[in-house]
Amino acid sequence: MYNSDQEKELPSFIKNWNQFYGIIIVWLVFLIFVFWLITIYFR
Amino acid sequence: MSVIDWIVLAVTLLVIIVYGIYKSSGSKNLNQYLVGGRSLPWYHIGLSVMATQASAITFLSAPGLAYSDGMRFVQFYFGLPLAMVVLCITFVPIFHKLKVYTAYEYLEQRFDLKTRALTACLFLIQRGLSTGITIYAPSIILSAILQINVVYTTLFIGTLVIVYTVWGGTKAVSYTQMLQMSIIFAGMFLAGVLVVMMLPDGVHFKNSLQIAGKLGRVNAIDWKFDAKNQYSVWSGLIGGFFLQLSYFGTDQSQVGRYLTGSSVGQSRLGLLMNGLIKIPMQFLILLIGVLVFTFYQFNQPPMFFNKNEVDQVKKSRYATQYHALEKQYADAFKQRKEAATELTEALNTNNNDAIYFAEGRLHAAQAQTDTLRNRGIALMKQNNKLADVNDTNYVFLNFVTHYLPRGLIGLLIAIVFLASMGSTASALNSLASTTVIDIYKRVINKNATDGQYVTASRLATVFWGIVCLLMALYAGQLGNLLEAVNKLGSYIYGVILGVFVVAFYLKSIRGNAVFIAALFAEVIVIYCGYTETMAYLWLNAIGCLSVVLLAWLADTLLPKSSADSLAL
Repeated sequence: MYNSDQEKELPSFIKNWNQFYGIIIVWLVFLIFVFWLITIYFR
Repeated sequence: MSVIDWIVLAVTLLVIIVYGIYKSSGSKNLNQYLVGGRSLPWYHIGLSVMATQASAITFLSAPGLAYSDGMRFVQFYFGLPLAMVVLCITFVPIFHKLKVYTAYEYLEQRFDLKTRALTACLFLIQRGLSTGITIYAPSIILSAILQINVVYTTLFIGTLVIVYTVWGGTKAVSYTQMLQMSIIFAGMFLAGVLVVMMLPDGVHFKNSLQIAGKLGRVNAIDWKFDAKNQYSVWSGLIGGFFLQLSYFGTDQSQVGRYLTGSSVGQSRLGLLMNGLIKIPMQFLILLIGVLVFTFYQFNQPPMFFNKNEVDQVKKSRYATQYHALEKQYADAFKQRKEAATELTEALNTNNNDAIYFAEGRLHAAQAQTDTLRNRGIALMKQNNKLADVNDTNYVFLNFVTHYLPRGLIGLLIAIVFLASMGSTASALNSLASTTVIDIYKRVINKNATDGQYVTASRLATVFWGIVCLLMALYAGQLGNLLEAVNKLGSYIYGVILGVFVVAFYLKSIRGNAVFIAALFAEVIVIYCGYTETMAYLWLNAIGCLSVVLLAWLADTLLPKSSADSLAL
C-alpha cells in the first residue's frame, strides 16, 4: 500500500503520518511538563 | 463478598467469554486463527495491545505502589510513545509487507534459520515461564481476598483462558480484550470517583492531594540521573524506550496483536492510540492509589495488608507481640488522624504557620506508624523467613472489599480476573503461533494442509496452557526463582531487539555475525544483571547496544566466506 493510501486512514485533522508522530512527541513532552508542575505544586 | 457481587462477577466473566467465542466462530484457517484474517480495525488493535500489556498486577500493584511509594512509577512508561513512533515507522510496514505470522519469520529472510530459531526459542522460554507468573500472581491475591484455595483460583483463570483461546484463536483474544478494557476503564473510573466521595467532610480532591504530597506521595517526576534509580525521567525515557521497543517490536504476544490490523495504517493507528492513552491511564491508576493513601489517613488501615501472612504470625509464638504492636499501631493511627485533620483545617484556612506545624506533626505520626509496621514485618520474618513481606498488591483490593458498595466489589474483582485473562490469552496465542510457525511448520512438518496447521495451533495452545498452569500451580514453591522469572524479560528482550535493529538498519551485516553477537551480548546482560551493576530497565539498552556493536565487530573480523559456511 502506498503512503498516500495509508494517509487516507488518518483522522481528517491530521495531514500525514509525520505530523501524527510529532503530535505524539509533543503530547509526551506536555505530559512530563504537567506531571512536573503537579509534583512541585503538591510537594 | 455478597450474593450480588458473586452475580456481577459471574455475569461479567460469562458475557465476555461468550461474546469472544461468538465473534470468532469463523476462524477456520491458519490466517484467521493466528492473525484474525488481518481484518481488525485500529481501535481493536489499540485496546488489544493495552490489554496484553496490562496484566492483573497492573491494576493491583500500581495503586498499592502509589500508596507506599508515590507516583514515580509513571515515569516507567515515558519511553512508550517514542517506541510506538519507531515501531510505526520501521517494524509495522516491514511485517505487513512480508505478511509474516510471527516477528521471527522475518529474521530468516534477513539472516538465516539459526538466528530465527535462536530468537524464537528465547521468546518461548521467556514467555512460557513468565505467563505462569501472570496467572499465579493475581490467583494468590484473589485467593487471599476471597478466602478460596489458590489452586481453585489458578485453575479457574487458566481453564477459562485456555477454552476461549483454543476455540477462537486470535480473534477471540482480540474481541474479549476489547470488551475487557472497556469494563476495566469503567470500573477503575468508578472506583476513583468513589474514593473521592468517601473522603471525610472538609477533605476534597485538592486537599487530599496536598496531604499526600506533604507525605511524599505526589512525586511523579524525578529529574535526577542515577543508573541505580529505577524510576526517573531518564531511566523511563531511555531505559523505558528500549524496554518498550523490545517488548512491542519483538515479543510475539504484542506483534501478534498488531499483525491482525487490516492495513499498515490501521496497525499504526492502534499503536499510536496506545502511545496517546497509556501514560494518562497509568497516571490515573496511580492517582487512585494516592487517593486511597489519603483515605487511610482518616480511616484506620490494617497494619499489614496481606491477611494470610498476618494470620500466620498470629498463630505463631509471636502472636502476643504482634497483638501488642497492633494495639500500639491503633493508638499511633489516632494521632496521625488528628494531625491529618489539623493539616486539612490549616490548608482550608490557608494559614502557613499552621500548615508548617501540622505538616511536622503529620510527618512524625507517619514515621511512628511506619516504625510499628516495620516491627510487625520483622516479626513475620522471624516467624517465617520465606514470608511475603511486600503487601503492595493487597492494598487496593483490601480497600475495595472493605469500603466499596455491593456490586462494585464484584465488578472490581472481575476486573482483576479479566486483566489476568487478557494478558494470558495473548501470551498463549503467541506461544502457539511461534511453536507452529517457527518450529513445527518450518522444521518438523513443512507440507501439512492448512487444516492440520490449525489443529497443530490448537494443540500447541493447549500444551502451553497446561505448561503455564503447572508453572502457576508450583510458582509458590519457587522462592527466589520467582523473582528471577519476573526479571527474565529484561535479560532477553534487549538482545532480541538488538538482532532486529541490525536487521532493519545495518543491511550489510550478515547472519553469523549477528548470531555470535547475540550469544555474547546475552552473556554481558546476564553478568550486568547478576552483579546488579545497574537498575534492570537499563539491561534492555545494554543488550541491544551490545548486539549492534558486537555484530558490527564480528562482521568486520569474520572472513566473508565463513558467513556462508556456518549458515544452516
